[in-house]
Amino acid sequence: GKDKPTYNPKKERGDVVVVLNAAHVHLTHDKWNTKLYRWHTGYPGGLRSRTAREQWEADPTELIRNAVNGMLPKNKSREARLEKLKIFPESEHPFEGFPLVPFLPKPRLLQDRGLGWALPQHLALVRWCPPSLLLTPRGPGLGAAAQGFEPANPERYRFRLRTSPGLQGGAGRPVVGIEDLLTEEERRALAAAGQQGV
Amino acid sequence: MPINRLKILQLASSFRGRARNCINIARLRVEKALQHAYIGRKLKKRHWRSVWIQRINAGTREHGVTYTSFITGLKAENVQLNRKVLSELAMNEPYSFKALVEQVKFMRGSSRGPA
Repeated sequence: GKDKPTYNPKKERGDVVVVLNAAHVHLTHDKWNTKLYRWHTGYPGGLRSRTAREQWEADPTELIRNAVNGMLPKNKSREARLEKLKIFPESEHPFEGFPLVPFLPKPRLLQDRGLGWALPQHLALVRWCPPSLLLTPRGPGLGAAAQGFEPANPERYRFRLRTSPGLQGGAGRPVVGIEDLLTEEERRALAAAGQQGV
Repeated sequence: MPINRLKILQLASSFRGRARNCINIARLRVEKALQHAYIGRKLKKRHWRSVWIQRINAGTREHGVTYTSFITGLKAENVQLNRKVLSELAMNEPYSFKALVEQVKFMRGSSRGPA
């Protein structure tokens, strides 16, 4: 309730937060199979666990609720604050008549670390990409428009695009190792671009 | 009962367990309670100032001004309202508070000059 002049540290008078489409939450890497939600029943040997997939099947809103619960300070207000969070799996919610203001987070720069998950399909290039297209220095226009973000470390990002198998639309082998397959002009272009210090 | 013992047990009347009935235990707990009260009287002043500041901050941000700008503006105009009064205005007299914020915005805006 800190955005109101009637702030009282003991009472939770803040706004209610409504989360929609919680069932469409996305987990990176292999977390659907490896992330465990654990709880203890209180009896000896009563440590139970469930994978994220099973938890989602049991109650899809629990994924977000558990995450937010862990981020709140562990004090007496935590329970009251968690009750202010209303999570709904799909877009239907019973707060139709209320003045709901959509929450727009500030735009952030995200660095694509090139691990695990692949870019969306429409951005992945054809199976084997001619070096002329790959090795052109990716200016801010092409890179930002294609991926929707500015890489924080452009040289490293370009290196990763060239070498990591997952980001090349399933080629499965790094570009650096296919010199024998290049035609003469492509070899010359590669040499020229290499001298530029890509 | 000797008077000191009576006074201590009266102070300990809301304590838990033996501390409200047995003098030796009550004496220890009452001493600690009085120490806590002494410290608390000093903490109370800090706590309330902090709450006033948070309330004023919330009130001024509703009008697009931060707490720091507001306070420096008030100091510049020699407005000597303290934070307790300002927080009460922010809670209960929103139009008066808005007038103060607008005054600060006007004075800071004109002294800074265009662009």
